[in-house]
Amino acid sequence: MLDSLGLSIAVRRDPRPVEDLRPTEAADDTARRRDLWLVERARSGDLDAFNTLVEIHQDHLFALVARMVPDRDQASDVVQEAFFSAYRHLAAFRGGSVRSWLGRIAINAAMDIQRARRRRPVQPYPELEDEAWQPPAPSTAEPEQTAIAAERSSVLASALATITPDQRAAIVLFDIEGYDYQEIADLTGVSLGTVKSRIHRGRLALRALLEGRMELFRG
Amino acid sequence: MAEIPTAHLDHDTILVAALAAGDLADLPRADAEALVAACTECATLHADLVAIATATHALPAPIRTRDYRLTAEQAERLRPSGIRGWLAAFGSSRLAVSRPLAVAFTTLGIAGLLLSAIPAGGPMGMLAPIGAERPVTGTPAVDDGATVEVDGSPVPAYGAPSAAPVTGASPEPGGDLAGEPAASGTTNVTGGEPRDATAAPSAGPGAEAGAPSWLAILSVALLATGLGLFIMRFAAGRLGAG
Repeated sequence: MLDSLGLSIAVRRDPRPVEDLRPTEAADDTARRRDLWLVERARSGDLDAFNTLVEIHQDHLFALVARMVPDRDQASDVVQEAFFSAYRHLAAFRGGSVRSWLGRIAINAAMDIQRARRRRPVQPYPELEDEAWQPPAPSTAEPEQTAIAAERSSVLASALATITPDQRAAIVLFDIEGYDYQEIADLTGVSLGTVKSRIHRGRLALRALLEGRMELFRG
Repeated sequence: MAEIPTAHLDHDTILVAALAAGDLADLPRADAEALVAACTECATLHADLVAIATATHALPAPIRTRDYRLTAEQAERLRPSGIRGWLAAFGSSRLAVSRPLAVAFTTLGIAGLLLSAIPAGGPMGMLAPIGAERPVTGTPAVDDGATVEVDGSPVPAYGAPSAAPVTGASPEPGGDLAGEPAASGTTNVTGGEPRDATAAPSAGPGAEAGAPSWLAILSVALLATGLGLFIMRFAAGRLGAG
């Protein structure tokens, strides 16, 4: 029956359903060594070296945080605070991937602000209604496809902003950032089963929210 | 394999979601596949969940609206150098010992000061009967009914019916009571030998109380250290906030 519907069982991102934009292993190694060198320079007081790191990673960090914290201004503040924290605690960096280290700092900051937001809830997320919030589609795309893709992204982003922060964080880290279950469990401080449950329930919640717009996704 | 209920509402949607995420193996997977194969709505749900996961992965990255590079001022504030850096490190939460130390020093200082303020005979000394020997702060011990000659003028001594406190300075109106230390005059007790007030420390309990004890000095030092630590933490906090 699955075959008749043209479906397949989703095996976790192998192969990836969309183009994999991750750098190759060699490039990754070069980038890692460059980052480590910059961290060393920054530790010795070279502000330009740290700012080079910021330039390299700020797009990724903002994209990550903006998914977890749908309020654009808050997301921006979280990223700024993450870079402040990274600069303040450069001495605490123990090696490894600078990208992951910065990501962890940003995720923790985003989770903190989500918890604070839960205590002082604000409704809703008006910035998601703003078209400028979504990046423009590539100019080479067909206008109709571009419009559908933009609409799909818009409704999905709105739905993502509506589910619980815990479910949203788990889905963003898993589906968008590519962390595995164990990494998400470590980052969020919950069990592996809880991570899975949040992802499953979060997707079900998204599906319920998108009930009337699923034709955008089925095509 | 479990029996599948006929109504879709009775179907386990979490199981379908787990199947869509590829999290199932063996028997649960077989159950989920059977469920999806048997129920059209479950099959649609499964397809939708896969499509949503794919669309989520393909979501375009939000555009950054700000440059997060640090200015020199921000860098200086975040990692201050010199005395400011030392203060910031002292006040940081990582140096957790500074606050307990401040509390301990302050508490010990206050306790020491309170202890040193208790009269030499201890609290029970306050209850001693009149006429019994008791400590007198800054006042020479004299016999009842005796007169004391201060700067050549006889005045009633402590314990006499019209006795007034004798501080070693002239009690006359207009006399310089405040600015004249006890050591400046000679107290002459009638019937006794003249005594110099400066010899007090070794002369009796009243004289001991007149000089600061080692406990009081230590307490003041502890209190000052504790308060100093609090002030430094406060300054460090202000530095961090600024």
